[in-house]
Amino acid sequence: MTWLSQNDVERLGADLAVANSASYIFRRFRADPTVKALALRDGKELLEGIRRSEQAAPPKLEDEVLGYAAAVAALTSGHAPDLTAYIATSSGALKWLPQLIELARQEAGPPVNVVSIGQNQYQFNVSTPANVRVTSTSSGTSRPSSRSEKLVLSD
Amino acid sequence: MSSASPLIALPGDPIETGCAIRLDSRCGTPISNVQDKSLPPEKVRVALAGAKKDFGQNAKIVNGPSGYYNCAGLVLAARRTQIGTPDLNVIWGLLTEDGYVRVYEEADAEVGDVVTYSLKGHCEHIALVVAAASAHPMLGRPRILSKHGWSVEVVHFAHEGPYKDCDRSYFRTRNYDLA
Repeated sequence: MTWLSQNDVERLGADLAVANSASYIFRRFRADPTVKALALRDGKELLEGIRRSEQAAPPKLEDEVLGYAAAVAALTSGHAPDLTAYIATSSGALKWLPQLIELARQEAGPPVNVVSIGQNQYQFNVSTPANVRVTSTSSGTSRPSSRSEKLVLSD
Repeated sequence: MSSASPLIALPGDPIETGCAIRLDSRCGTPISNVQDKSLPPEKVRVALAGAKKDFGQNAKIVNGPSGYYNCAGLVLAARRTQIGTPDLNVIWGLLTEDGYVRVYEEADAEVGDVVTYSLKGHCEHIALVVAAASAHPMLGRPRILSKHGWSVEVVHFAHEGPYKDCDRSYFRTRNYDLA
């Protein structure tokens, strides 16, 4: 996987070297142009990059850099839930990974879902991850209506 | 720790990672920690190259890279192991349990004091003061001994280095008065 040049590995590796916490990695990597470019990739690709990074034996610096770069890219491009699910099968080789996910979650604030239906917006908190699905929508009236929509929360 | 996992790996010993040692605060609160005995040459090279770039000519690198300990391991565990520093309250709590009190002015920091670097409630770095601000009246900043991640130990001014944008807070152990 050649997502990173040698210069990228050197630059991001130097950041990893002085990292005392996940928050430093999150802050530095997310501002890096290469990581920003990675964030444009497909979420599955990024997860595959993380998986390969963790499985590398023996682990090299470039694998570690790639793993964290892909993780931060995924977290900053709306793939946090995928990464959270991935953690269950993670080898733990990327030790900051759980904390990076937690940082992204904290930054996103309380789990609030916003659903737009027509011109109405519905906002509600959920205590556990849930998918919000709209099963029927209003007929386009401009007046807010609380009875013409049915929202279904599904696990 | 079993005899198969010596605290200090000797040349020729199998490389081990992920070992922890028993470590408690003064009050007996266990402190989670981990040692990373494996530091490949490429990591050493990148760490040294980065350190020369991160610090100006005022800094002095005093020890090479090591995976055994990080910044908190240097300050709170005598270089024995790495201690994670995710939450500022956890680190400040540990310092309190170890008898530290806050020193509110950077100008009042003395040799031996501890400085924490934080951002948005996360403790990002911790280091030891090795020269008071009064020793450098032109700059008015203390010099500190830092260890960063698996990188080097370096003496530098408190307002320099990779964590220069963080908020700094100083702490001192409260022992019996010298008088």
